[in-house]
Amino acid sequence: MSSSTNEMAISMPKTAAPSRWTRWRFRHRQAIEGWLILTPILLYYSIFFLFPIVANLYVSFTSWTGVYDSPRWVGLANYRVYLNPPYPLILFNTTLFAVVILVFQTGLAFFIALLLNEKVFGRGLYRALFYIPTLTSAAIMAQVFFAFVSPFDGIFNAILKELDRPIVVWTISTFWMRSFIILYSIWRGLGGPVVLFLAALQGIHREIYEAAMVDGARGRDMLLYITLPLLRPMVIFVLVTGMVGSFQIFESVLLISNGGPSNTTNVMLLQIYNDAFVNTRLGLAAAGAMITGIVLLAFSITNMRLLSRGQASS
Amino acid sequence: MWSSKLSRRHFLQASSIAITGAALAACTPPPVPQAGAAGAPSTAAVELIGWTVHGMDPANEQFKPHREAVLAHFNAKYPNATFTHMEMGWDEVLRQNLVTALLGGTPPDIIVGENYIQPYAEQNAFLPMDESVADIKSNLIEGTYAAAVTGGKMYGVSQLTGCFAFERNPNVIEQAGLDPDAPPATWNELLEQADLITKAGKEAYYGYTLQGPVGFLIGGILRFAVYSKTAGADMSKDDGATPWFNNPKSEQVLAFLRAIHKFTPPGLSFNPDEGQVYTQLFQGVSAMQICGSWHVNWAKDLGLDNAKYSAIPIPDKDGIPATGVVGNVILSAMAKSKYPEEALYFCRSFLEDDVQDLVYPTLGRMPSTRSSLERLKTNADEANQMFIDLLLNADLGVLPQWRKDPQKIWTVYNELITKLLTTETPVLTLMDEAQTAAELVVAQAV
Repeated sequence: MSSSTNEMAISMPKTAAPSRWTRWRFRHRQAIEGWLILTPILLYYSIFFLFPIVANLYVSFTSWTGVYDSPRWVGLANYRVYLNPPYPLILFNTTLFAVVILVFQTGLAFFIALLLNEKVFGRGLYRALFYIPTLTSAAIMAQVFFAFVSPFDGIFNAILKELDRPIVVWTISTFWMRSFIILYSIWRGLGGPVVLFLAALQGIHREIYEAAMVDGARGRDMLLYITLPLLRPMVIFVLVTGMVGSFQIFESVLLISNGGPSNTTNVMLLQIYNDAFVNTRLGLAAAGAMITGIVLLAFSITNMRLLSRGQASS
Repeated sequence: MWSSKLSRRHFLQASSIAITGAALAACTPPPVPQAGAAGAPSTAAVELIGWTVHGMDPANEQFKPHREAVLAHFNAKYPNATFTHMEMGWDEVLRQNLVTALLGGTPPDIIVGENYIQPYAEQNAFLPMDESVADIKSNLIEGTYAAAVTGGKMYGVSQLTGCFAFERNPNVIEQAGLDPDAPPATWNELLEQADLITKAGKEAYYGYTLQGPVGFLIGGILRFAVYSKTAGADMSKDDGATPWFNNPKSEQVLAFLRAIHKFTPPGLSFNPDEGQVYTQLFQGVSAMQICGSWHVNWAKDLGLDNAKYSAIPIPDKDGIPATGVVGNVILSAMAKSKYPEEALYFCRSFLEDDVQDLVYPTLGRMPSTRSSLERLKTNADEANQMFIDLLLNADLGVLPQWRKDPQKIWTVYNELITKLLTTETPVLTLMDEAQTAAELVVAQAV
């Protein structure tokens, strides 16, 4: 050290050592800034997502009408109700609809996307036509649907009458009402997965197919060994989001069957709505919401792990 | 030394703090009213808020005379009070909005309803009205406010009302070779006429329209309940709190429904579109049905100008001239209203003579006071006179309001009716099954 530096050091006034808090704040300044920047969005998320979930969890352990009284703690009583009729049937219906709609909708959407990926005349029009049901109001679509299945003057029964066959009262048949709800849901929900698969297909470079053709691969080989593996991420996404969406089936059941006949088309979300606003049993409705959330979470995690494992091994 | 330039880091820090502070400030809850202040007279201007109060929508010019008459009475006692109408739907939609508002602490002062008043009143949601209408109670028709009575107290008054009658298409009846001016008075006569008309129709027209069950909806149940009332077959015990689906008197009612269903156009009973079900009579596909008082204008609008109306046919043995109240709008004052006295008086204003006299000409519905109905009868056409007679003289029934899980209990009842109309299972077996299922629902309610 030079003498001038020593003189400067000697002449500089002495300052107090920074406090422990100041030192801590200095060491963690970047983290503090990060948390400050994240605070608004965390607040939003906490208020509109986390808090309602925690509140819902609490309410699910209470008996509460929400009209004038306060919640009364009842422990697991609301969850035990789900072991009694008609709730097991409602859970079964929801799972049935979710799985069947998901499987058929995904498969059909993939097949349609493959076709739409080909260079055919009017391809743009076909793409729009497949997406229109997704954009249309559910209530209007249900009315259109009823024009076909109305037991009194529906088109299907009119055809049966013309063929001298007895009419079918579709609305009291479990098989037919479930089938109609599944068909209606597939019809309405097809557009989204088609667009997603189409986008994924168009993201596959043509050179890959050309290279495969040079090696002697044919259509089926290219589909199984090139298209499907490369589309796996999109398939996972469609399956997970599709299951979450299908499990929350509500409007089609409300508009078409209202849960009948005899709760054989009743689903979780419709029953949660009825428990909350018709039966004024908020605790039971909250328990239903928790069960639905847990089932969806379990499915999503399991599905992603299984498919990711498959992707890693392939 | 401070730099005159604000660095990016400092800008981000300052912005985050500002936004966080703004968000926290926005989350401040509204001031909670002090305990005991609810109901205390306010020196500030009073604003009553009412949901879906019929005839009070300022945007509808047709309602203006009715609205002004109500406000004139109300403001005569509370000159500084105002009323704000909010359209919040009806039935399920209205109840959903009400529950949400109660949870959020923003309920209205006045609410309307038809068949949920009792359970809500038992949970202290409404104010008792006995004192505020004590002097005019004798002029009110008991059946019109019965759905608001529980524990011996009245929690609502009927603003306007209606009832069921028996509707006939004389063109179809005449075409079948029967006298259109001879309505069936008993169930056996009804079955005979329906049978003859259906046979004559040869699938072009049928004798009767029976609205069947749909999910847990009560449209069809309201009509079944009318026949139950004429047979004295209550559907409930304990003042409407407990289902009684295996009431021995119900056996003949259900047997009758099974029989009359054979004369309904195939598939029509299970059509979920109630409007389509009842318009078949106007279109000449059906000859007879139970109808509400709004059918008089509805029939004319759809081209049937000469529809005929009569009393509900009753059982041949021990039948009771009765009908059911329907389209009955009950006004209630919310217990959480900041202005309970004003809210109660506002409801009472609807029962004044000049207001009730405007119900039919401006709202197209029936008034619910005896004096107004009698005045209306002197000028009413033949069809409306029938409904007025029924309101004044018949035994008026109301649907039970289940205290626990009404959606599930009505689903059980609709299942009973579905099996009744689609199978040949003995009626008593179906009744016992339904009663067991309903009791299970009540027992499992937490």
